[in-house]
Amino acid sequence: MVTKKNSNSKLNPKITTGKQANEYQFGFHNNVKPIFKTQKGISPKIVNQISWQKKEPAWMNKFRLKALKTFIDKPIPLWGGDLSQIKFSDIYYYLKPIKKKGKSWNEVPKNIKETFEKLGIPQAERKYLAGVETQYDSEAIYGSLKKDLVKKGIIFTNTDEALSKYPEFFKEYFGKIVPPADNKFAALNSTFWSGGSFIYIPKNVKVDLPLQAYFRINAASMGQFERTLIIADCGSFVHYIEGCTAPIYTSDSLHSAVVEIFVKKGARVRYTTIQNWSKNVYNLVTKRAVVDEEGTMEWVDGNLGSKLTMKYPSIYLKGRKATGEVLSVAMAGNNQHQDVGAKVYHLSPETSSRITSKSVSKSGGRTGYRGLVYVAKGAKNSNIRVSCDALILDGKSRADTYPTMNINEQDANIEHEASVSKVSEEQLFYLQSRGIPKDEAASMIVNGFIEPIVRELPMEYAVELNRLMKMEMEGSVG
Amino acid sequence: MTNKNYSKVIISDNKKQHLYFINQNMDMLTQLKITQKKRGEFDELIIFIVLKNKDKINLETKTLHNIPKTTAYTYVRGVIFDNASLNHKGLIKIDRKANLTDAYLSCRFLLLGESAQVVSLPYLEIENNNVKASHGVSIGRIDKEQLYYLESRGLSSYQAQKLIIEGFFEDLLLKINSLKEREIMRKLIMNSLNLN
Repeated sequence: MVTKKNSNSKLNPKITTGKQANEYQFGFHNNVKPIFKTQKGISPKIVNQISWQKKEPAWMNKFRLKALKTFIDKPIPLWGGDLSQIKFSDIYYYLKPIKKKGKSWNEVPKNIKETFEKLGIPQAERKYLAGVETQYDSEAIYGSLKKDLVKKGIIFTNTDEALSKYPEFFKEYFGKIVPPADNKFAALNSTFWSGGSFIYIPKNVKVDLPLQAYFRINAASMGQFERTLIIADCGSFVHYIEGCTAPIYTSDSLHSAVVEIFVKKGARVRYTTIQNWSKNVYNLVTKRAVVDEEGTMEWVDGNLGSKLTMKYPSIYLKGRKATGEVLSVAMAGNNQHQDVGAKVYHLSPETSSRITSKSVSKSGGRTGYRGLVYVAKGAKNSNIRVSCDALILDGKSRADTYPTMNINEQDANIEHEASVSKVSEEQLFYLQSRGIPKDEAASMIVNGFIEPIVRELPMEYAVELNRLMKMEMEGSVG
Repeated sequence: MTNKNYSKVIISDNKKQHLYFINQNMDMLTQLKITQKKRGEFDELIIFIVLKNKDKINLETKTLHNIPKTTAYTYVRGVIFDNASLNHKGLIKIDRKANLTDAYLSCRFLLLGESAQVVSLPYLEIENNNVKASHGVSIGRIDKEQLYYLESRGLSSYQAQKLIIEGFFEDLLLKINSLKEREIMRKLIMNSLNLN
């Protein structure tokens, strides 16, 4: 097991140099003893154990068992990245770290608190975050939500708790956008899901401050299958931020989340993810949103970590004048493969969407953009703009672009462009002639390259992303 | 009634131009592949497509670069009428050794039928950083403002539409280096449009 002293906090990552730069920044590992742990592997017995532990309604247990069957029946996808190394039988599917949810910060056990301190959550909360709902292994253990949000009728809690408290929402929305049979990993998540966030924003309520959750895997060979459900009622607005950092393990870990978002008439939802899993994690995520009339969905997606990420946030523009936007930034270093992208389905007239993707590959890393734009017959006056740019920093790395445009309506306007380039000698020369060292110049250029996406992030995230990029860039050009 | 598909290779100024005119119904996959063998080779793939009725075409273009210093540009211009459908996959693949490759793919499609369909898959697989590689795709209908402008000058809707479509192909026709071939291609396109 790797134990590493951490750097001060998540917000102020120490910039390491040389050999150290290759080590994982947040790769510390706390010894937290789970109270309950299932056996390794997949079986209906384990599913029943989970349901029993969680005291779930019978229909959810049935849902899980049905999904398990789907998971076993579905073949492993052969496209995208290499999934053959995942040993499904060698994974713990459920861990329960502590018995009760901490009501206040003081009640949270000390060693778990340490991890959060290292991630800098308390400061972040003090600074300007509205609510913190943190996931530690499989169960959310600490939640706080400012009183004024509760007063407005906003529900922000972990998904397990929401299931027992608000079953009516689950009957109507759960598993409706991403059914278990959607893909193998959605089925896996549906079988073993645990934790994640549930958010309900009532009609015409606008949440000014972003809601935030931190996720962390903390035990070796632990799959994390969180399930997030967001319902934004008519005319509401919410910005949800999900940030991930995970410690280093000796064996490969699997993270397979499902996120479902309902954007009702005139509502707007922005979902921001910065993913920095340690470099042995498989990150296979299904994220999907359905947008009603005049609604807006925005995915902001940052992928820095993991061994292999396969993630294509999708937007179904179901109502007239619905709009969607996906901003995606990916960075792949040694032994990393980021297969990310976006999917937009235009199903109604006057819908519009915009996809911007930026990827950087270096030291033998591989990035790929995989996207779909679908315009249904009858989606008149739809407008689509896709641009994906890739930057390759050395001769060992690789960038791919695999977009699909399926257009069935003549009255639509689609533009797509993609380019692959390197850090240009001229730009480097210009900066160096102004006295900036080559390393720093290259990292400035890379930061400039991803700037269109970084500027959409909340300030502290933008700072963090820039620092992470800079750290990743150390010694990679020259 | 329909024109035969047409293809021709012309060589001029160190450049090889591969010309294609496609308007025949083909169910099978048409693969146009360019693999360059010598340094400094410069290929241009120029493809015109006019599809009508229930035409269905599966087209695949590939430019594969595995030696340094080669250039390949692919241009596709297609007008799709009625219930016709076009499936185009355009791959640019640059191997690790292919330094200083310059590759570009440009696709423009006009959809002019209630049930016309385009599926476009422009792929890039790039394993070398010292290259230029990009693609651009645009799919849409005739610009209403252009149509209005011409109609306000006394052209009928049909004439205006025809003029715009001719203009749509014209910029690519001008890329053809041989005057003779340019005229052949222009005639093929005009004939196929006149059937309307």
